[in-house]
Amino acid sequence: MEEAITSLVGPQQFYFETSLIDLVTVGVVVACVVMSNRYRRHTTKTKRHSLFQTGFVLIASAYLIKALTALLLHVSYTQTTALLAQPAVFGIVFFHHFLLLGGSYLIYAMYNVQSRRDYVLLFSLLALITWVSVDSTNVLHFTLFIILTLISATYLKHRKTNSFTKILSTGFLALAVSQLIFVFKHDTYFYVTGEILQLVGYLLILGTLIIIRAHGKKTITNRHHT
Amino acid sequence: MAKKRSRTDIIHDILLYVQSQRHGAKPTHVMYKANLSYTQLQKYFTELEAHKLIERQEAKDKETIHITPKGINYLVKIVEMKAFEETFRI
Repeated sequence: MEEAITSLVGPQQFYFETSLIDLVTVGVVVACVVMSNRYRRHTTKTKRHSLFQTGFVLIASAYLIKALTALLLHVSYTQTTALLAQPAVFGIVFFHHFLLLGGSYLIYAMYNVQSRRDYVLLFSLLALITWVSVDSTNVLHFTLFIILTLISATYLKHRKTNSFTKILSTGFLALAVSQLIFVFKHDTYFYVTGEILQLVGYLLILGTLIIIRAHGKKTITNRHHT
Repeated sequence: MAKKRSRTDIIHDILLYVQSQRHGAKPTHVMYKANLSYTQLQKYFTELEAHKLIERQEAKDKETIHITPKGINYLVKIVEMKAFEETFRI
């Protein structure tokens, strides 16, 4: 059971830091959902906004589960581990992995139109990968690395048409590399590096959102003064 | 062939041109800039006026269209939305 907990929330000495980074992640991801929802009423691309929001909500839920688990363990390791029976730990880890994989896949799927049958097949495969990844988290990290790299590549392809996309693709690339580093997270240094890179990735995404908000006001103000 | 403009795109084009004119925009100029017919333009003007995004003013028997502060806020929101959708490839 201790191994399962460590695979989810990392080494015991970093429970508090892990929960802080994950709460920042939740904040950034929720900001993406809120912004998308803000524009949903005025756009014709409601289906894509729905996919976008659902994907990010799943990711936010996954990190919230992780953050709360880490925080509870930090507050009282003995009490929390006494409360959690083996099936509960398995359930938390499975749920966390599935939400993360499902969310990341939905964001990728936004750029690659899928039929309903494809979604059924791929979510079944994701459930299988999640089942295997509970015992071997390397499977989760490799799968996430591939999905995030593909998302980053999609944004990178359009970097010349949109300067904000460059920052966004760098953010997703940082997230992808962090997943690769997490393969070696049994080593403390790799774990810390992975967490920092993950934080950097999400801060770059947050930076993109802030720049987009500022861009709107700046564009209109500049046109008014010309 | 160019993609058909959405309602939001047309409102964006109208508000953007009106906002760029310091002393108000003439309806005919808005019609040309937004690439609309007279009937379509009047429909949009009525709707935008009802939502208080623009106001019509008459001076020396000439009608001019002015954007309201609410219209400017709405225009900013549309510009942000377009940037958001373009950045995230939505």
